[in-house]
Amino acid sequence: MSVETMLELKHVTMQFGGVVAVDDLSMHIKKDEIVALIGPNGAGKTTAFNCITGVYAPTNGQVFYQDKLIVSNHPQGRMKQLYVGSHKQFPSEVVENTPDQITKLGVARTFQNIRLFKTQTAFENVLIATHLHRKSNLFSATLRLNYKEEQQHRELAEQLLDAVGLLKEKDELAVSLPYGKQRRLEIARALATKPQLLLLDEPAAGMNPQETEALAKFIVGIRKRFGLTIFLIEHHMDLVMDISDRIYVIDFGKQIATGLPEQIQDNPAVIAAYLGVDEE
Amino acid sequence: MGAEDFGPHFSKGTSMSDFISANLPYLLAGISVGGQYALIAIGYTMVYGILRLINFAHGDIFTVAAYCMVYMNATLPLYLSLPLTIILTVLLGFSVERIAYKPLRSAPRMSIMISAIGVSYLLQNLMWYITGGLAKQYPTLPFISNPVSIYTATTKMVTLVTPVLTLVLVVALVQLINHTKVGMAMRAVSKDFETSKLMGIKINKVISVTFIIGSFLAAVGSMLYFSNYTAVTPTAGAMPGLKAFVAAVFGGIGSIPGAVIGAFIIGIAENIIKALGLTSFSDAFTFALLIIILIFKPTGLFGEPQQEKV
Amino acid sequence: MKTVKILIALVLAVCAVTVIYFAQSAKDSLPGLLETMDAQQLAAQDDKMLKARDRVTDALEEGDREKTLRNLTRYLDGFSDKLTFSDGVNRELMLFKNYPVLTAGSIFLLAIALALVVYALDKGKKFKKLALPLVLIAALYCGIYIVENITGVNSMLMTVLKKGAIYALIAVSMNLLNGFTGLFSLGQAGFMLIGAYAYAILSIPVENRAQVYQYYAGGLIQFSLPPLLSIVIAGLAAAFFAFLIGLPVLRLKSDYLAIATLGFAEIIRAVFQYEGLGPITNGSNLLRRFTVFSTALYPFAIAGVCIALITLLIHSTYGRAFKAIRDDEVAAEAMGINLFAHKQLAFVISSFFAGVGGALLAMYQTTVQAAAFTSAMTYEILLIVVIGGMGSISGSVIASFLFVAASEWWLRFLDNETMIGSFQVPLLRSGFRMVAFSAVIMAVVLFYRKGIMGDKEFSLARMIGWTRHRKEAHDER
Repeated sequence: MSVETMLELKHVTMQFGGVVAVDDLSMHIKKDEIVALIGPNGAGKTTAFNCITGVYAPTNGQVFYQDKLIVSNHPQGRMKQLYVGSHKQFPSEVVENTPDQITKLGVARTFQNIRLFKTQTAFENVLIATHLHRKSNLFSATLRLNYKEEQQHRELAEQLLDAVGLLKEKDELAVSLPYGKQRRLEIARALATKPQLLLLDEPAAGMNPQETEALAKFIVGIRKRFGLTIFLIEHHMDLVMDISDRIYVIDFGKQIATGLPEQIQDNPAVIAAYLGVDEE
Repeated sequence: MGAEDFGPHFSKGTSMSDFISANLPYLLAGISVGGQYALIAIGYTMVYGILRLINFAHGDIFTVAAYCMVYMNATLPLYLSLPLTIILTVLLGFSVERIAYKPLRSAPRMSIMISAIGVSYLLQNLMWYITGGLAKQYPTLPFISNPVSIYTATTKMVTLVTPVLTLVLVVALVQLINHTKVGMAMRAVSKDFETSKLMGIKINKVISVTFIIGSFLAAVGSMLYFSNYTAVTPTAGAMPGLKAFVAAVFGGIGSIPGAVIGAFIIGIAENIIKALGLTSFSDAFTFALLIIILIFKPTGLFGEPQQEKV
Repeated sequence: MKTVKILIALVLAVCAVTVIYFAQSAKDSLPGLLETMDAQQLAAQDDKMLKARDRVTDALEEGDREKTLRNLTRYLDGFSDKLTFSDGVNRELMLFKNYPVLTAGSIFLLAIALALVVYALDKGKKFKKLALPLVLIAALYCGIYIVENITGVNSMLMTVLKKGAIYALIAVSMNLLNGFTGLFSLGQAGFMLIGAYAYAILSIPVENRAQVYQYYAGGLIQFSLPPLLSIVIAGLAAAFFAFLIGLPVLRLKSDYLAIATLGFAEIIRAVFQYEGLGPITNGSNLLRRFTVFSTALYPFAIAGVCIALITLLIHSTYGRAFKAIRDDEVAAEAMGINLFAHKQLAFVISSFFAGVGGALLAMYQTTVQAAAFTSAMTYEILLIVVIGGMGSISGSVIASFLFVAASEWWLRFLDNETMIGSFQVPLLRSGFRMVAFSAVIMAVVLFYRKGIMGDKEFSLARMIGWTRHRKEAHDER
């Protein structure tokens, strides 16, 4: 199967009352790419993620995953009262997939403000994410007739913990792990859903330069190992410039630049948007 | 009651005056009990608005107010027992919050609701212990217990006083919330608890004021309610309490006008059910109404939708 | 080593079977035994003694072991001369008197034998952990059987045990929802009511129906189902109603679930008392004379199986999904867990077991009346769950027995006016028990929020580890 375009956004707009968080955003991500979405704080990056993963229904626009329409809304749709813009309209149908349905299609994500299952161990956190692959039903699972499947899931979870270097901390409570390890655990958990597209929301937040460098290697490594396409939001410019194939820059919800890392570095609009914020 | 006697008239209604004389008592009772529910419902809706807590003990505070009146009226003159009842009820509401809810401020929300259920359980058992479990006769209050006839129906003065008093109190409360400093703080806290805390609003003071207002209105509501239904038992307040909560949800939880309108609708609807001869279903009806509104408009009549931040 | 274990198991099993066989035959041979006695002593000439002997035979025919034993002792004491029996007769008498202990003991031996076999044949040591619990559970059930035969079925201890077992099931079912899935539901009493009524209505024997439904011409239903089937249907009925309620409500914020389920319980209570449904529900009258259990083993067995099923569920992939929803709905959904479907699943399963619990409660009470299933009942069960620890099955079980024992038994003295000499103990009078009780509960809720077990489970390994640790610490000193 050769899917050229992994993810495509067409004119996605998200409004909260009068605030336009994402404004007419269009982009596309090809298979096997690492694409970064950058922009100052409050530019609408996470909101864009939430529109892709079905947490929010956008007020307007469409999202395609592997050329399949997964999210679609338009001013005549359910968001009629909320929509005040004059963007391109789609007379198409309203498509709203819930986050779990989108995950099942092969899009996994991590969260900016780490959302691990707090009362569970690292191992259980990863194991939970294998739930969507189950072939067992309630009865076979309760009566342990799914022994083999359970075994497979446990092995997968252990492999993934090993891949992110957390096998030693397997039985520790997720919350008791240090910050950087929690971030990696979140990635392992997302990988357990066996995604083709992985969305990382500020994976390097709160990490020191050494950790960030290790993370960069790690991200490139998992792309190769699991055949992933990666879309990430990040503030650490070193990381972004280091690993991204392409970069999108947004500010106040609008796309202000796009291109190769070198192009973005010298782009005056980007520098203006980051004025005073500079590279960290 | 006389539901069976009145019931048939409702459908037959040979003439307009017969129809009115048969059904007027129910309408009056509905408006009156609606006002009483409204006074309780405000306590629920305000507490929910600020703490996101269903204060299960509120109905029992309402009952305690009734018992206070019963016991104090036996020894003290009315001009003392009336204010004392209100003061004691307010004190109880305040202390319940301080003792049972405040320590759980940072706990999961389910814990604080469980604490509310625990308080309700404790208050009910305490009342049972003190009274020996027997129903007490609520004292006859002057003026509001006087009989009065309207058109063909005979009723107590309280039926007429309740809606008026309710509206006066609600208007006063809305003024308080809209035009005083503490009212502004209350609105801020109910909009965003965490941010208001950061902005230097004294959260504990605001919450205490909320409970004081709620208990005060419950005490007033209790006097009106038990002047009509004179038997006070330890669980007498549980059902009106629940119905008032339903009214609050119906009107849109967190909204004071919503709670009042919801309470009047429920009070009147419940008495229409009684007039139809389905007395045993009047309680069930209230909850059926709740489930229906949850299906079609979960935020209630005046509620605002909320979106969780991810 | 393996063969030795299996051999020991075999020997134990043979012993157990032999004892059971003899105990059983002693029971069967009692009438013959009596004949022998009569012939030996010829005292049966006495009219009084004849009657006493008849009483023994009657009780034996009724199958009431306790009564038989009582009458037999009385009969034997009635002889003026001390009776002397042959060894054979003495042995038979001994066997008969100790029938419960012997059977229970034998069953226990059988369980040990089974555990040994499991232990020996277990290649990958997968079931090794199963052996000890197996023995302990068998011991528990044998113990209950013995105690029941010693104290009588209706002793206070047995009452507490029976009610405790039923409450344990209901509390665990509520914990599945409130503790493990994080849904705050207050409809348990409503689902119990459905279960209790479904059971009672279906299991009243046909010949009793005319009497029970005396105001409704014998009622509408003119058949009767076996108890076990009725219990399952009781659970299914409750589950069905939960499904209907869940459809709209579980899509909303969880606060609404609390109030909607509470409301639903009130509706159900009113509907079941409605005169129009009288031919089925008997209106506001009692339902009675349905099949009930005669031994505490029955509720223990059913509650035990149900709790075991819930435990298995919670430790399965579905249980993990429930806990994920409890911990973080947004993350759970992002991991591909369908929130609504899983909440609905937890709600329906919890209600199923609440329905089964309601059916058992009906059997325990021998009568059912809708008016008794108030929200206060739900609150009590919720408080049990809190005392035991939200998210701990063993906690709920322990708390259930403690709660029932305290409220029905241990704290009874608080309700009685007590005099010490001429001094009347203050405060003690009717109602004080519940006040003290609710004060204790409040203290738990406020100061001991995790309850007895927190979200941990009672574990033998940890117990042993703990005592060993203690011992080591002691030795070091």
